[in-house]
Order: sequence, then C-alpha cells, then structure tokens
Amino acid sequence: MSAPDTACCEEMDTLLAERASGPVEASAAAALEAHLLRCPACRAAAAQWEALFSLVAVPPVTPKEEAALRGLGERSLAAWQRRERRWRTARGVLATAGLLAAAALPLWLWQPAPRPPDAVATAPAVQQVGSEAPGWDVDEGLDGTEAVSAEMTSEDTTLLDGLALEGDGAFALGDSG
Amino acid sequence: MLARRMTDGGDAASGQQRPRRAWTVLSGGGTASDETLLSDFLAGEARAFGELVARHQRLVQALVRRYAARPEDTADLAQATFLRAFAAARRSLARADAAQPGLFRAWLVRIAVNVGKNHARDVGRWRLEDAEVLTEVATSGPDAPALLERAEQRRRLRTAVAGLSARQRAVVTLRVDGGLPFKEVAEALRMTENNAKVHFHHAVRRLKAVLAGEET
Repeated sequence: MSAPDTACCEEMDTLLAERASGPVEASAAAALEAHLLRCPACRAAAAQWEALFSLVAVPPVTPKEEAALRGLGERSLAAWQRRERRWRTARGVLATAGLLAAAALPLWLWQPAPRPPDAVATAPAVQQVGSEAPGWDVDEGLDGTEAVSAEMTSEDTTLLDGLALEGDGAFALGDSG
Repeated sequence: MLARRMTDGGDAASGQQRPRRAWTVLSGGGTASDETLLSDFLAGEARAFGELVARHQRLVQALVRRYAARPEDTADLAQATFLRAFAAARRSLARADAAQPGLFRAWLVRIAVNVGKNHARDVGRWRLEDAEVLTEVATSGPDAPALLERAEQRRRLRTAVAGLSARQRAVVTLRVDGGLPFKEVAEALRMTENNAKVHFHHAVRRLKAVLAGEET
C-alpha cells in the first residue's frame, strides 16, 4: 500500500483526513460528499486516508475482550461499595482514635503538685473516704500511696539511728549494729 | 423522565443499609442525562450506576484498549476509569458547574486516557499485537506476505503514534479509538476545537510521511 496521494484538491485534503478518522460537522460533510462524487482524485485520497487510519486504529474487539467486559456494571458497583465500606471503617477508626486522644490529653497535661510534708498527716482521712467508695480507681491509688507513706514514717527512727550528723553538717552512714 | 417513590433499601453510593429514596424508570433510563443519573446514584440509586456504565462502556473500552496487553486488562482499566470518574463526580457535585451537560462524559474520556497511559507506563508495554499477527500469518497461506507487510506498516505507525507529542497523540487516539468529534476531543483535553484540529493535522501529516517512508 502507498501513502495517501497529495494530488487531490488541496483544500479538501484536510477534510478528507478528518472524515477518515471520525465524524465531521454536518455542513462540511455534505459539501465533501458532493465533491467526492465528482472528483476521482479525492476519492482515491479518501481511500488512502482510510487505509492509514485503519492501521493506526487498534484491531477489532475480540470475543475474549467482549467476554471480559460482560458484567462490568455489576463488578464496578460492587468495587465501589467495597471501597466505600473501607473508607467508612477507616474514618470510624480515625474518629475513635481522635476522641480517645482528646480525652487523654487533659490527663497527660495534668502534672500533680509535689506532696507537701503535712500531707502525711491528712492521709488517713483520705484513705478512710476511699474505702467507702470501692471501684473508684483514684481511691485505690491514694490507698497505695498512703500505705507507703505510713511505712516510711514508721521507719524514720530506724534510718535516723543509722545516720550520724557530723560536725560540718554532712551526713555519714554509721554502724547500726 | 424519572418518577421517584420512597422505598427501603441499601444506599448504593455508600454501600450502607439504610432507608433511602428510589425511583422507577417510567420512560427508560436512556432519556435521563448523565448528570441526572449521576445525581441519582449519589443519592442512593444503584441502577443509575449500571445505566451510566452501560451507556459509556463501549467508549471507555475503545479508549483503554490501546494500552491494554490482555483482554482482562481492558476490563480492569474500564472499571478503574468508572470508579475514578464517580469519585471525581462526588467531589465536584457540590460545585455549580458540576451539572453542566457533557461534563461526566468529558471526565470519563480524560480519565480513561490517563488510566490507560498510567497502566502502559507501569507494565512497560502497549498492546501485544505482534503475537496475534504471527498467529494470523502462520495460518494465512498465500496471503502471508501481504499480511506481513501490513503488520510492518502497523508497527511503524504504532511507533510513530507513540513518538507524537502528548497532545497530538491524545487528539489522534481520541479521534481514532474513541471516534469522538473534535468538539468533544477539545472538551476532554481542555483546549479549543480549533487547537484540537491543528494538533490533529500536524500529527496525521507526520503519520502520512512515516507511512510513505519519508520519516522513520
């Protein structure tokens, strides 16, 4: 096969290429068809453009391709809905994580003040209140803390027995035995 | 047009089970515009999705075939095109111009070409035509030389199309594969109709020269 001939009417060649490759405007198409009826050179050029575009085009759809495309609507809808469910789950997880983070933020920011020395004296009263409200985590925490405080208080004497205050104000560990 | 009535059922757009509105097609879904069907689907009507796919699947198939090596790839690329187009539509539906007639089809065309190009880039090849041609030649007997010459011309032109500028290639493939009028080609590629024609004519002059052996 040879390339399209350029000997046809110059002004028609552009339209012939458009006509061979796809739809052309109705007004131009009517004039072109009328011209083709009376111009053999343009008819030959039109055939050559058509041959060129048939080579550029992909081959016709095969039965295998037809079969693969069957049910495309249903498959695409199912894929869309799967994707939507995944997005909804992901959004739910993110929202829950955000809420938990927001709820935990005040606890993370809250720093308890150092316990003053007289806290030991007030501890038994707090412990008493806590024992009347079982299941409240804060009470359980206080309970444990006070037990440690009480032990420290009872050991103070023993520890002091083992320490001797020297003349320059420095502490030195003495023999308690 | 479409007459609507309330029924219970799943939400097609979100895949969620909840009461929703549904419609009965009185005069056929074919009369509703793409944008109406799109709006109905996003409001929960699954049949509108099927109608839109059925309406445009031939066009999408024609556009992505050039980039698909296997028949299954064509179906996968077509599905990916529709999913992206629906997602883009949902994002843009709130905008005033989203109801503009022809917008969904223009989206589809643009997305199909992009999906196809991305696929071709990812797998590193275009259609495997050579194997098909060799099978045809092997069983053709006396026509074998003519078939081989045609296969060689096709190969040269395919290489030439791949070597066109991106815009020229897009115009040619939308025109040849999709059979689109220049007005639609221009809308899909966001250029003027005249500009699309200029790209087309530059491209086909080059293809003509390649076929004549004036260019490689």
